[in-house]
Amino acid sequence: MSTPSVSVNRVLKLKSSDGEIFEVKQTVAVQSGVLKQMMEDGCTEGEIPLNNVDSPTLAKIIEWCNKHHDNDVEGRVLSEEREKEKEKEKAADMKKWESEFIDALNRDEIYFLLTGSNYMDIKELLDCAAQKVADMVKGKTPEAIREMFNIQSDFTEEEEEAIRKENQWAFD
Amino acid sequence: MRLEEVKTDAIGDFPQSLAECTEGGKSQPLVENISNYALSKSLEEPDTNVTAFSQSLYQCQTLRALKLGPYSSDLPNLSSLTLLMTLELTDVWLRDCDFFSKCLVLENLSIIDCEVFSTLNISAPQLVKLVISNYRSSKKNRNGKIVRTSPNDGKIVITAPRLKFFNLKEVDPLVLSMDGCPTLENVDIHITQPFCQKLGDKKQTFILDVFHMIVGLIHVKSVSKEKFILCRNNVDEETKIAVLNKGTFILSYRYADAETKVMELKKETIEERVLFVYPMVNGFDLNQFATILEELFGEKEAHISNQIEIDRLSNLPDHIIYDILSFLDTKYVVQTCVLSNKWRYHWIHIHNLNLECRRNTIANFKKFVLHVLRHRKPLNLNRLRFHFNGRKSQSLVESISSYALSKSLEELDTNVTFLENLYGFKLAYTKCLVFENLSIIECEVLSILKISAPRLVKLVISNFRSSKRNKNGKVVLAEPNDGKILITTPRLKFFYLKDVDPLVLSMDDCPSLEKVDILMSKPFCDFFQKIGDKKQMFIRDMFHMIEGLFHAKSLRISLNFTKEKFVLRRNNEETKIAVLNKETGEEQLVWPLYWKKSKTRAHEVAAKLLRKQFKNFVPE
Repeated sequence: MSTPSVSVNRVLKLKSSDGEIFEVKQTVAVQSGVLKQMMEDGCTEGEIPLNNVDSPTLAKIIEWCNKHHDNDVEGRVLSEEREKEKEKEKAADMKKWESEFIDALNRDEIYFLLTGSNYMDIKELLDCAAQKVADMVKGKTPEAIREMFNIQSDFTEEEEEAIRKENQWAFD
Repeated sequence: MRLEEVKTDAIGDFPQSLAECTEGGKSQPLVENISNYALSKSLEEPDTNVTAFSQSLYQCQTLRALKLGPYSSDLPNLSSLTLLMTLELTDVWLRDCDFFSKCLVLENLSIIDCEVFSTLNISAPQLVKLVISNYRSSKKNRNGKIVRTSPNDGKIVITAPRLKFFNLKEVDPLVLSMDGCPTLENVDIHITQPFCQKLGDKKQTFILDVFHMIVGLIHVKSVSKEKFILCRNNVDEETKIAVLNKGTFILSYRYADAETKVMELKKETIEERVLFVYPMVNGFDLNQFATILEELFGEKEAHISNQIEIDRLSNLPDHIIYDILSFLDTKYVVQTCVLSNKWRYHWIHIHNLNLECRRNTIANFKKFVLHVLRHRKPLNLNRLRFHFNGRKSQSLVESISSYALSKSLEELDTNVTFLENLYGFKLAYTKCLVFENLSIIECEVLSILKISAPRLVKLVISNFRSSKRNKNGKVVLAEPNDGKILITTPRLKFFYLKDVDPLVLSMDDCPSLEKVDILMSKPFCDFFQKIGDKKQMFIRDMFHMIEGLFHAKSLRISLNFTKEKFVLRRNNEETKIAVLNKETGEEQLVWPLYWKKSKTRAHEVAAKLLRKQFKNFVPE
């Protein structure tokens, strides 16, 4: 109710950095903090340029938002007693979908998704992608992390030794 | 009826009566009978390995999918199969080079183990997916050796305006011409070890051939955004072709990156490592690519001089890095300080703390925790997880609690179960102003637990024991107020109480309570079996508990040890008590109660119900 300009059928036109146009329902687009703000300010006429998001990434982001939107809508119509169990099921399904969604991406795609969802301010997606990267890092030694992500150490051996000493409690 | 599928296998498994037909798999009458039958029934999907199939079957205009097995003689004329969408050819000699042009609706095409004479033309306006596997283009000389006469031999010309997926497996390098495929999204090429063993200067030929193949795809990459993978498998050191590692090389290009990358894929770990990255300014630079391949396939141990590593992780915006680090165990987060200069102080910005005492002694763990608390930036704390896994340190709990308190903790997760923690917690509960969800699981309290959180919305208490122990360690309830929980949460809406002994609840300060769900497991002393009047006590305790909840909009109490649960639901002035049959899910209204201000009436009903429930266990 607070955003009267949002109607079910209206569509936003999003333009990716490489010039592709994507159409998204307003009701779906509210998941993006940036787009929501724009809708509230009433400046969504024409194409909305998203200069930091390329089209493969934008397609992924929209796929995510559509999925989460669908899920929201279905959730509301059920009777009270069954509602709880259905919701549980739904949540489990969604978790499964999310992990499949994110697992299908390669590392570069995840990075683009991170920057893209950050730019568009979609908290849930950002968290999901960040969690995925965290899972990749999890339990790895600094050496393994460097190897995995091509992080070049710019410390000399002495410097690194000093830093380890400084934080030795974490290395025991 | 229409026939959907027919499978004829003329090798074995024929019924006795047809035994005479099976020799050599040849029985022209049988084949014809089957064909004619299928034809008359509008067959859609045949699957056969009969080599001398009646031509008539291929007149069957309803065919949608067709698999052709080893087929040495001339291919049937497919021009009448106007509905064919899926076609799979295995071990077929494609003499007719323009074989597919008539199949207007073909969407999937697989060419497996096939051989072609000269140039293969694939022209299919609706084709989406094309798989070519183990394809040989060859002319053989008199000795049966393969020779290549003209450079266009083995060329595949593909005109498929809708083609999206193109998969080329285990092929010798081919000359591809794919100008007619503007929508190509994903190309996957998998090259096995070339079949000539000693290479020498053959290596050059091979590389050249790979080039020719890729040239046919380059235009596609530069106009759309597909992934292009060149894999080289089964690298054998003896062949001295690939020298970097026993691995797979991937050349990938993404339009979005404007970069071409050559990566090495480690098979065991499925990790990719970037070997080269080239910026793509004006399309694909073939010469540069030549250098890459030369290096990759070169004889000397690859000397990678112009290696540009990309380290996307470090280049992410800082706050995303903090997000990522916040998911991890804090110990590992601190360790990232040695990665590089950039990473040195990332860890002090994390907004969650995950402190778990695993193998460490509690003394070491304590040093670590205090170190973290001291050095972390004085930012608000979203989430705190601390698991001591059975170890005890009162002072550490206090340090953590007071730290959390000062940093406006929002979410707490702990498995600390010993009694002493109570005071630390009471403090934390009562002053955490922004708590919205609180779960108390397997905790024990000494006397009264006060939960006062102005913004708490959801409260879960599970497996909560309130107890005083006497000298022998036995649990005693001394005063009636022991085990009382005082809840002052004006915004509380959802309250779940699981596996608890009856408690004394005081929830008058929770006016917005909407849903209360109480699940009682069997009381832990077997008092139903042994001591009769304990049952009365249990019921009394239950009432005490429920008394604090009568203002909730919906109240449900499930007794885990009975068949049914009963539901007390309040809707404005009307209160209903119903018994819910767990198995059928049916709700039976037992007492449509119009309950204005008569709490006593409700009590009586509840008591009656309870007694009825308990009958299942103890005789009155």
